[in-house]
Amino acid sequence: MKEPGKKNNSARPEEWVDLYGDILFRFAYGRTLNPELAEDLVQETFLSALRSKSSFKGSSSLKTWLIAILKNKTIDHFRRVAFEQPAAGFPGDGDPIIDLFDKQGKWITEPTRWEDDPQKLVENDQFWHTVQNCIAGIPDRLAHIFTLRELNEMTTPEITELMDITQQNCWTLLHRARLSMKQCLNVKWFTK
Amino acid sequence: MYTCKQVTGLISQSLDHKLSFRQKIGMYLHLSMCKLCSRHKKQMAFLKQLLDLNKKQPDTIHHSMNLSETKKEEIKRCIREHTHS
Repeated sequence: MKEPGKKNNSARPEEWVDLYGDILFRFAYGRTLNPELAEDLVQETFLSALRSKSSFKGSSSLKTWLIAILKNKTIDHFRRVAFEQPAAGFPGDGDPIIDLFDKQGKWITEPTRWEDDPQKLVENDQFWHTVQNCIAGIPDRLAHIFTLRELNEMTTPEITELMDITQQNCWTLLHRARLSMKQCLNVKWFTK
Repeated sequence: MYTCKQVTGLISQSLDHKLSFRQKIGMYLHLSMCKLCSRHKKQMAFLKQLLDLNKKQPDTIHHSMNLSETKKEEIKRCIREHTHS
């Protein structure tokens, strides 16, 4: 189905699922890379939309409205995760910087060459599955900050507030997260 | 003169905020002489490109992913219960 615009704005809530279920799911999947979590977020979105149906004015399309709810649900989810996460257990273990550079700050593990076409790669489900595996494999705090910044559209000021950390700390954590992810993808995908 | 370790930190920070003039000059000076850091920078840009597409066009990129039929039925059932109560 192509871009159902405002013509579906009057669809009954039951019909929402067939009209927008897949679109919302792909959107949630992109932000979590976790199919089970994505499904739950979509379910929460529909039920929340149903409860606040009267606030939908029809000035935007139903799809836009549902996606806005889904975005909030996703951020709420990650906010809860951040809250439950112990602030301790700070990098230390599994610090990618220690493994990558010597005392003089030179590369120990040199970046190897990658040959891949981004256009082909981006639609390869297997690649995104590998990204998910890598996120699951790095320390929780790094996985969390990577998800907020690189999968969701959060800015660093928003992240510092959500995670209650300083800006410098946020940049450092992001640097470690990106290096960890790059190393993992290097091993599990690009040089495989 | 920045080390490779410091430059990778700056490469990452350049994705989050504008670097100072000094940082930029130092970074590019290092990159002009260091093949490995240049490669690393390209790879980070490559990953960013993929992640940006994932953020902007999830519907196109993940077109083969669908909400499972079981979940669809479950959600419809919830909606029906809600509307009839």
